[in-house]
Amino acid sequence: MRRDMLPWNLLGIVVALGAWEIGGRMLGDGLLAPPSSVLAAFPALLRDGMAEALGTAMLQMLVGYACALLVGIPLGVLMGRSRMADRLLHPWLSMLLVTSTAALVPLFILIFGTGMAFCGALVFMASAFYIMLTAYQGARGIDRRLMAVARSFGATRMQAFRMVLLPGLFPYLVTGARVGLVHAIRAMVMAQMFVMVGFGGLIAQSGFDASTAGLLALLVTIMLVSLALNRALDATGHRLAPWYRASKAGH
Amino acid sequence: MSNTPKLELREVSKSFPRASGAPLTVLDRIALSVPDQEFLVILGPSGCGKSTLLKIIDGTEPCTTGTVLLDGADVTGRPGTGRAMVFQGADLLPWQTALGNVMFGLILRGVPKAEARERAMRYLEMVGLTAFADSYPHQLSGGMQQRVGIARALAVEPELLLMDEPFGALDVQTRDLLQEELLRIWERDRKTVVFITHSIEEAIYLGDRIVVMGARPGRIETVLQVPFPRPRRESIRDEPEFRALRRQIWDQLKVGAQAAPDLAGAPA
Repeated sequence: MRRDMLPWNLLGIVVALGAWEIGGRMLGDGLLAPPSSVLAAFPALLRDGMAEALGTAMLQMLVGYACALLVGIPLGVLMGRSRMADRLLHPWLSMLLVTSTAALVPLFILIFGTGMAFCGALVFMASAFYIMLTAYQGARGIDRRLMAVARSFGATRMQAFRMVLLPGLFPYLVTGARVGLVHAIRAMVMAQMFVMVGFGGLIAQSGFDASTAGLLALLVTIMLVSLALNRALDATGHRLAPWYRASKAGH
Repeated sequence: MSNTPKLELREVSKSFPRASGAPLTVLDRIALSVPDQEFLVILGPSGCGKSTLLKIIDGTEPCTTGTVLLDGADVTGRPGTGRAMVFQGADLLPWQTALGNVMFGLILRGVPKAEARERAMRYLEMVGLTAFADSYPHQLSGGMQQRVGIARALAVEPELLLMDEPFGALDVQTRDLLQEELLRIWERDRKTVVFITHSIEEAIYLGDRIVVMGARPGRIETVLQVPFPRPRRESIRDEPEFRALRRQIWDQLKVGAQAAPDLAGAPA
C-alpha cells in the first residue's frame, strides 16, 4: 500500500463505521450492535477470558499452519520441478484444494477428538494445498532465461538450485504463506465453533446472547489479528528480500 | 595463419527430428575460424539459427554433428570454460544487486567472496556503474541493466566473449551509446568477440569481419571484411564506403532470403 493512499483508506473506514453506527442505532443491539456498543463490550469479554482463548486458538492454528508449510512447500516445489511428481500428485492437489474443510469436521472429530490435534488437522487441510499450489506455480514459472544464464556460467545443478531457483521461488513462497495463513485462521475459527471450545466457542456462544455487541467484538478481533499477521508476513518478506515487492509487481 | 585460431567451428549442424519425413535442419554444416582478438559479427535474418549457433559455441545447446574448438581444445557441449555470454535482455538476477550480479559468475567459479567483490567492482567501474553497485535491476534502466550484463560477462575474464543481440531491445540512443562504449572497452583490452545482430549498421560499426547468414536451413552465406580502421569513430556511419558496404550486405541478405527453398521451410 502506498503511503499517500493512507488518508483515503482512513476516510473509507471512518465512513463505513459512521454508517454502521447509524444503522446499528436504528436496528438496535439485538440485531446489529453499533461500533460504540461493540467497543463497550470488550472489557466484559476480556474478563471472560477472550485473550487466553485467542492465545490458545492461535497456538493451535500455528501448529497446523506450520505443518502445512513444511509439507506444502517441498511437495509443491517437487511437483513444479519433476514431471513425474506432477503426474502423481496433481490429481490429489486438485481434489483436496476444492474439498470443503467443513465437510471434513465429522470425520476429523471421529479421528482426532476435539482437542489440539483436531483443530490443527483441520487448519492443515485448509491451508496446505493453497501453499502447495503457489509453490508449484512458482517452481514451474522459474524464468527459463535465468536458468540458462546459470548454465552458461557453468553452474552445477546444485548451484543453480541454490542461487537461482530458491531465490526465484521466494516471492511465491511468501504469497503462498500469506494466502495459507488466511485460510488457516478461518479454519481455526470454524473448527472451534463446531466443537464449542476456545475462541470459536466464544463466538458460537455469543450467538445466543441478547446483544450482538459481544459477537461483533469477537469478529472484529479475529479480523484485526488476521490482518496484522498477514501484514507482518508481508513485511518480513520485504525485509528478507527487498526485491520481493518489485518482482511481485513485475510479474 | 600458423597459430591455432581462438575459436574454430568444424561442420557444426543442428537438426530436429520430425514426426513425419526428414529431420528439420536448423544449422547446416557451419565452418568458421575466428583468430585471436577478432571482433566477429554474425548477421542474419530472424530464424536463421544465429542465436542457436551462439548457444552451441557457448556449450549450452547440443549440436547434432560437428565440433567446437576453443584454443584447439574440444569444448562441444561443455559450458563455462573460457567463454562468457551477454544475453539479449541482460537477464540479470532480480534478487541480486548490480554488484551481486557481476559477482555471480565469479562465485560460481569458486572465487572467494572478497576477491569476487573486488573484481566485480573493477568491472562495474569499467562500464561506469560504480554508483549503482547496490541498486537492484528493477531500479536500473534497460541500458544500465545491459551494462551490468556486459560487466558480468567480462568479470569472469573469458577468452571468448559471446554477445547475443545485446542491444536489440534498447532504444536507438541507448543502443548507439552502448555500441560506442563497447568499442571503447574492447579497444582497451582486446578479447575475441562473437557478436550477433540483425542490424547491418551495428555489424559494420562494430565488426572486423561480418558473417552473413541465410535462413532455412541456417548457413553461412558469405564472409565480409570490414575495411574501417580502429579505433572507430562514430562519424564513419556517414562515409560513402560505409553506405556502400551496407548496400552490399543488404543485397546479400535479400539473395539469401530468396534462395531459401520454400519446401524446406516447414512451419516452426
